Amino acid sequence: MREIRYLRAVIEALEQEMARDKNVFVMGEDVRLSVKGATTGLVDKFGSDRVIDTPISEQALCGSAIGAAIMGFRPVIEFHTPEFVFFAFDQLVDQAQKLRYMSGGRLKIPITYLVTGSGAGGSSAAQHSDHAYPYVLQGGMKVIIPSTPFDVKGLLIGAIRDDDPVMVFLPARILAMKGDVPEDIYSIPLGSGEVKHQGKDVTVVATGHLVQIAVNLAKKLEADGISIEIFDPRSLLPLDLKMLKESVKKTGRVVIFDDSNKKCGFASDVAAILAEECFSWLKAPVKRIARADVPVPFSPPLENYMLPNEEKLISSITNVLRWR
Amino acid sequence: MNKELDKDTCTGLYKNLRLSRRFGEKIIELGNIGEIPGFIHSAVGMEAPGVGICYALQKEDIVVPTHRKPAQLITKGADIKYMMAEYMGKASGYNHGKGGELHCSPDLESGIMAVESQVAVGLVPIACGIALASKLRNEKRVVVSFYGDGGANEGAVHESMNMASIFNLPVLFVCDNNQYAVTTPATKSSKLKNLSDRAASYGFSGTTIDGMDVVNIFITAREILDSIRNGKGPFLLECKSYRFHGHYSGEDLRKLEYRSREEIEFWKSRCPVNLCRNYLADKKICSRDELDEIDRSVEDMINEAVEFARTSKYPEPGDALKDMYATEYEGIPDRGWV
Repeated sequence: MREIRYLRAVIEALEQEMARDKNVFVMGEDVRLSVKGATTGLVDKFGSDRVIDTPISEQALCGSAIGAAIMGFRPVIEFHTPEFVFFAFDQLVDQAQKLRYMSGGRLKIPITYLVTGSGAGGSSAAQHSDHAYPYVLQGGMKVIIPSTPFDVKGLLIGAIRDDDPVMVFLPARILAMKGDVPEDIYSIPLGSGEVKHQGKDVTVVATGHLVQIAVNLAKKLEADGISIEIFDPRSLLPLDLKMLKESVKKTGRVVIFDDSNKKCGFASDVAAILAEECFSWLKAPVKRIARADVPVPFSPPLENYMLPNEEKLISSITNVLRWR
Repeated sequence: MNKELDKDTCTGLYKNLRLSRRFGEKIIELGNIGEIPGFIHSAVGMEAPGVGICYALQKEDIVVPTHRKPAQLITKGADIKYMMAEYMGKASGYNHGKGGELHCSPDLESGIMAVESQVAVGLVPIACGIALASKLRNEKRVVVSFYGDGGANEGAVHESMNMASIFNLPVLFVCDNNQYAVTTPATKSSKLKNLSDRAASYGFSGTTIDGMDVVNIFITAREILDSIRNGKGPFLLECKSYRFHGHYSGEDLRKLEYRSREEIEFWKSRCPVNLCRNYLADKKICSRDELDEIDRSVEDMINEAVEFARTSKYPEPGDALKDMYATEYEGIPDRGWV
C-alpha cells in the first residue's frame, strides 16, 4: 500500500467526496489558497462556487453552513485556528446541534467542521493550542479525532456522509505523520473504536496524537514484560463503549490519556462511566492524564509541564500495576 | 392605493391580520389559565410587518422569523392547529412538543425555518445560508430574515449583512422594530433614528416605514422582493411597530414600568387590525358585513385549533431522548442516570 502524510489524506478525502457528491462544498477563511494545507488544490478542481472564502466572521460562516445544510447541501467548514471555534459557539451548540432535536427530528443538518491543527503545536501559547472538544461534547455534538492517516481519510468521509453536524479535530502534532492509506474511497463509521495495540495488563484509552505516543511506549514496555492495550476511541461521541468495556474486562486496569482539560473533560467522563458500569472488573483506581487546568503557556518547559506526555503515562501505568 | 390592490389581496391581508391577532390573544388567555405551559412572548400589536411582508412572498420563498412570530408563520401558510398543539406541548404539534411557543417551527415545505435561540438573531446567519443555497443552485427563491431592534446590535447580524452583501445574496432583512429590547428603548441602544441607515455601511439599500400600516408594508415589500428576485442583492427594511403587552407574560407580576400609559394608549389607537379594517370599509373595498363574516370565520378557526390541541395527546415521556441524532446508537443519548 502507498504511504502518504496525514494532511494529504485529508485533502484526498475531501477531493474524493466532492467528486462523488455535488452537494459537498468547502467554506472557510483562506480555504482557496489553503493556509492550513487541508484544502490545497481543491479550488482548481472544483471552482470557487465549491471552495468558498469568507470574511473573518465565524458566526456568519457557521450559520450559513446550517442554512445551506437545511437546503440539502453537505458543507465542510474549516476553522482558522482551534480557538475560532469559540466565536461560533452559538451557531455550533445552540443552533446546528439543537435544530434537529428541536424540530422534532424533521431537520437534517449534515455539516462537517474541520479544526485543522488542533491542540498544542509547540509554543503556540494559549490562544492557539486548545482542543475544544469537551465544550461541544457537552452540547451533544458528534466529535472525531483521527490518529492516523488511514483513519483520517475514512473517518472524514464518514463524517461528510453523516446526516448530523460532526466536528473533526485534526491534531497539529500529527499533520505531517506518514502512514499507509488506500487510494480507493472508503469510509469508517462514526462510533467504531479500534484497539491499536493488543495487551493484557493495562488498558490505555488514548486520543488523537497521544495514540502514537502510547503505541510506541507499549512496544517498548513489551521488552520489560509489561503488556499494554491501547484503545483509540476515534470518535468521542458516539463512543464505542462496547469495545472499551471488552478491553477493561480483560485488563482490569485503566489509564486515560487525553489532551484536553481535566475539569469536565473527556478523560473525566470516561473515568466516571467506568466507575459506574465496570466497577466489578477493576483491579485498580482509574487514572486520568489530561491537561493541567490552566491555559497553555508559551515557554517550552512550562508547556511541557502542563500537557500530557510519555513520562506521565509511564508513571500512571506503573502506579496502576502496583494494584493486585 | 386601492387601485393597486385588488379585493382578494385586501381581504387576504385583513384575514391574516385578524387571525394573527386572535391567535395572539388566545395564547395569552390559555397561558394565563395554565393550558399553555411556560411563558408567552406576545406579538399582539406587531402583526402588520409579518402579514404585509409574508403575504407578498411566493410559495418557494422562505421566512426566517423572530420569536414574536404568529403573523409571520400564519401568513406564510402554517396551520394554526399544529401551532396551537405545539404551544400546548402536544405530540401532534409541529415539533412534537420539543419546541413550544418560542421555538415552534412548521415544515420547511411551507417555507418557514423557525427554531430560533436567544434574541432571535441566531437565525440571521442561517437565513443567509438558505439564500446561499438558492444562489448556488440558481434558484429564484428569496429569503426573509426577521430580527428585532434588540437583536440588531448582536455581532451575528453585522457579520451576516456583510456576508450577504459580499455574496450578493437574495435576502430581505426585516428589522421588526417594536422599539423596546425587553425594557431598553431602541433610542438607548443606538444613536441612529432609523436602524435601516445601517444598510449603507454594508453597501446595500435600506428604508424605514410605518409598521402598523399593513397595506403600505405589503406594497413596499412587493417592490423590494421583486428587485431582490431579479438579482439586486440584499435589502434592509425597518418596520416601526409596537407590542401592546410586556416582553413576556410574567412581566406584569414583576411590575416593570418602562413605558408610559399614554405611550401605550397612543400606539393602541394605531392598532394595525383596526387601521386595516377601517381602510377597507372607508374605501368601500369591503362592506362591514363582509368584514364581520371574516371575523366569524377566524373565530371558527381559532376554536377548531384550540379543540384540536386540547384533545391531542402529550408525547410519551421517553420521547425526550428521541430525535437527537439522524443515526440510532445503542445507549446514546445518555439518559442521565444509571
